[in-house]
Amino acid sequence: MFVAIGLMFLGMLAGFLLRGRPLAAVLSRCVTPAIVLLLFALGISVGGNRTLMSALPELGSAAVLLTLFGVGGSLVCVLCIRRFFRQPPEPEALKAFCASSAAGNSCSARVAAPVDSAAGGNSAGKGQGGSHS
Amino acid sequence: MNGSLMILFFFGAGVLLARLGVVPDYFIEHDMTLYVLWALMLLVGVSMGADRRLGEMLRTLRPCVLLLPLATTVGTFAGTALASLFLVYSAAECMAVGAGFAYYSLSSIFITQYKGPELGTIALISNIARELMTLLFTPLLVRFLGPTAAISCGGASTLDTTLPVITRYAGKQWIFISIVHALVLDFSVPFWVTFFCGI
Repeated sequence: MFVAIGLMFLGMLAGFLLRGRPLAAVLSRCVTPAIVLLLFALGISVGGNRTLMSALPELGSAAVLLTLFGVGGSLVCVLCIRRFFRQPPEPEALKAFCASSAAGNSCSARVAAPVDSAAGGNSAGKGQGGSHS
Repeated sequence: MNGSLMILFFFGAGVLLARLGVVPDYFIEHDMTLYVLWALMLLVGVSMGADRRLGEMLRTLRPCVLLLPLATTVGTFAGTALASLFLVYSAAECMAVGAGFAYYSLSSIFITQYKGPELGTIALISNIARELMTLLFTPLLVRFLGPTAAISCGGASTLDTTLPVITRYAGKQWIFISIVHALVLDFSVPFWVTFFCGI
């Protein structure tokens, strides 16, 4: 466990140093093949294990139960903090993200207005608050 | 969705090949996945370190935005811990499964390595189910519980696979919070999963 986390931090350092170099992009692209390979191996160990194969329906229902409880818990917590999100927060970062991503054009246009109108204050939410309530 | 299908395909192919007995016994007896996992961790680290988006987001972020991923994390852990009362698995094991936050590929691999293929398979199914649920129920969640509920349900998948459906039903103004939410959860998955597998 500590080896894995340690390797990840080592990788983060390497990635930080390699920022902007082509090698970083190549290495990032290797994540998916590695994941696919490991899931293939997981499939082999499940398929090769008779007791596990016969227990598959029970494993599936345990999994779905965990999903329902996990999502349910999330929803309850979100309902508690929902009042902080009357207006979606739209800071400057979205503009930067949209400009750099392919889906950019339409959403940077959408964001430009509220951010500009709130330029005097320090938060976009403050600028929009009046029109909402 | 293409990525999910490919991953399911490879998992299914592995199951099928092993069932048919085509796989040499050598691979079943000698497990080399640990070294591949270590290589994967290194690669995940590199892609995190080389990613400019997280730094940019954090620099311009108001702390209030982090409330949503926090709520998702706390809620998921509380819910899965509660579910452990009805299952044969310990609370830590159930929370490790929940800590995938719909990031099924990485979390199920980790859990397989540390807890065995049984819990690994549960993690795979459970986290794929979370993504499917988000894809299917986002329109209802947005309508009855609000956009934040849909984003929270999506977990770490609101950055890629479920972003289109959330954008469509919640509106474009929720893209930012959706992306921040997923980025924070994405980066926390390896830590939480190894943490819960360790205790």
